Order: sequence, then C-alpha cells, then structure tokens
Amino acid sequence: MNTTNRALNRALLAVVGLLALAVAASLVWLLAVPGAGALWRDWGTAALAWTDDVFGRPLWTGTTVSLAAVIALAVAVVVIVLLLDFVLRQGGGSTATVVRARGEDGGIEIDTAVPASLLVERLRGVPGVAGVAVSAYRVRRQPALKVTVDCRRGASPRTIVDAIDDAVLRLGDALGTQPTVFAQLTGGFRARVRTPVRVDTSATAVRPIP
Amino acid sequence: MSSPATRIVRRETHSPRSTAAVIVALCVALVIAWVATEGVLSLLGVHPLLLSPRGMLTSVAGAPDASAASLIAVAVVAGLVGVLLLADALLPGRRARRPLDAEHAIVVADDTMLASALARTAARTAAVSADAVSVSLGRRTATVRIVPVTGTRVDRDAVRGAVSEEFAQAGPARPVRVAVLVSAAGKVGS
Repeated sequence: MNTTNRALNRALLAVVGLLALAVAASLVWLLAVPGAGALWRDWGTAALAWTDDVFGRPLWTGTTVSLAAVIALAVAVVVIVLLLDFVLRQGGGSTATVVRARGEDGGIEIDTAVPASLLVERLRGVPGVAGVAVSAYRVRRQPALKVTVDCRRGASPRTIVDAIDDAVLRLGDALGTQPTVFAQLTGGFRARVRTPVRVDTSATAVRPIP
Repeated sequence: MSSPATRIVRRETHSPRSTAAVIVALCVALVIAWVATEGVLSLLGVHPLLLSPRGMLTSVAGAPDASAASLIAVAVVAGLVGVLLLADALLPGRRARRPLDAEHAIVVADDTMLASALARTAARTAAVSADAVSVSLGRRTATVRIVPVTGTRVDRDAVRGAVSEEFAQAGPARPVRVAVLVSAAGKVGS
C-alpha cells in the first residue's frame, strides 16, 4: 500500500542485470572466439589513447584538471545522489488523516487513531483474532486504511472476513463516509505455539469491574 | 488506470523488489564513489587507494593477457549476477497470499493463515489431534497430510470434502485441488 515505485525498482534491477550479462558475454566472446584477443587489444589501446587525449587537456596551464574530469566527477556525484534518493524513497505514503471534509463553517480532519480504535474495539472480541493493528496510507491520492488482523491457529477465515465486513460497515456509519479498507489476515506460522482459544487466567480477568 | 482496490490487491500479492533494488543501488553507488575518489586522488597526484582510473582502463584493455581461469571466474560471477537480477526484474514475484471475497473491504489472507484453518477442519473431520495434520497450500493445490490414530481409518473423501468446503467458504478468487495423504504409520493415542 506504500508509494514505493515498483516499476523503477524492477527497471534498476533489469539495467544492472543486463550490464552484468553484457560483461559476461564479452568475456565469453573473448575466450571462445579466435582472434578476439587481438581485436580487444586494438580497441583497448584506441580507448586508452582517446581517454588520455580527452583527460590530458588541462583547463589552464599548471593544472592536471581537465574539462572531461570535471564533467566525469559531476556526473558521478549526480548519479550517486540519484541512487541515494532512490534508496530513501522506498516505502512511505502513510498518512495521519483519514477523512478531510470542508463545510461552510470550516474544515474537519479525522485522524487515523479514530477509525483505528473503532476497528480494534470491534474486531478484538471476534473468535480467532489475536491482535489488530491499523495504519493509513494514501492510494491514488485517496486515504485507505490498512488493517492487519493477526489470527489464532485454525481461525476460520469466513468468520473473520464477515466480522471485518461488519466492522467496516459500522465504521462507515460512524465516520459519515465509507473509507477504503484493506485487511490482511496473518498468522499461522507463529500460530503453532499459540492456543486456538484464549483463556485469560490473569488476575484482572476475574476481578469484578468497579 | 486501475481502481484503488485492484491496485491494492495487486501490490499486496506481489513483491515490491525493494530489498534487491536497495542492495543493487547501494552497490552501484559505492562503486561509482570509489571510482570518483580514485579520480580525485589521481588529479591531486596522490597514491591511489587500490587502482588509479588509468590503471583500471589499462587492466580492462589488457584482459586478453590475463589468465583464462580468472577470466572464466569473472564471466561466471557476472553471468550469475546478471541472470539473478534479470529474473528478479522480470518474474512476477508472487507472495504467498490470496484475495478473499468481502463486501465492504478488500481482504487478502496469508496462505499460512488459510492453511492453518484448513488443518483445523481436516483434524476435526479425521478425528485426530491438530498437531497430527499439516497442510501446505500452493497456488492451485492444497496438500493435507494426516498421521492417523493407530487402529482407526481416516475417511479421505470426507476430509477432502470438508477441506474443499472450508476453503470455498473463505471466498478465494479461484478454487484449489485438494489432495489428502494419510500416512501409512499411525500414532498411538493423540
């Protein structure tokens, strides 16, 4: 649900993968094709002569800095900054505001905490639910709630999905608009060490509520 | 432009490839930073850290003189890295999750959660303890393995029917073929 640019992720992987394959292919060509070594050497000396020429033109007398060196360093810095920006842009897109409404007298914003506590309160008592976590993201510029429902071992998916449906419907009534709700059912892996039903043996459970 | 619901389901059931992309981006940035540092050092006329930029170029140009073993090693490593990265870029990268039918919400269930529910149904139908059943859920198949109680029979068709029905009730987009394997050796008690 986050705003990670997945196409860009895959594009980067594809470009670097193709470059690595090109290196491998050229080495295979060098090893396998007779006469490739001589050709490689020719091109190598030509490339070396060209770079020596380009990097050997100093900007002013008494310096080793050439225009090509300045351009190369600038390009390196720009590419590094772009790559770091790309790394830091992963994830993100979560929001604190779920509903934003404007009336004649002013605006109203509803924080994620409000639907979160409503949903948690509704879902906590459902048989098979061990824990509920709620966060909000912006998807296509519209806020969407993400509900992670941690299930107990063997919990019936239908029961839980119906409970989520009901809770979302009531949430819509409470908020006045029907928000987009995405629910993820997790559990199972850790569910092995977890009892299928919850028996609260702590002292607070048996103490009468004042 | 897809609706938010389709987009959410698509994004939640497929890997974002973030880890691989971040690692690759950091490696590329590191290599470029190293080459740039060597460039600055050579401009200043200071000794290179490992290899001056001109040294890098001459060693690439002199690749035919290098030993065949080292060339083969580099080719194999580069080829493997290339194939792995390209596979990561092109394969769909499905996660072990599937969307479930719901009226007012978008629901995606982890396969482990569904498998645990199917295991409970199978255990109840076969009248064995929950620990005697394991379920593995694939995209199109579900395999139920049961260790029966010694001396009792497990009705495979009943188990298959119950598991299929529980799965269908969950409301997945497409059904799975259920296979029930009953182990030949039973367990005393349980």
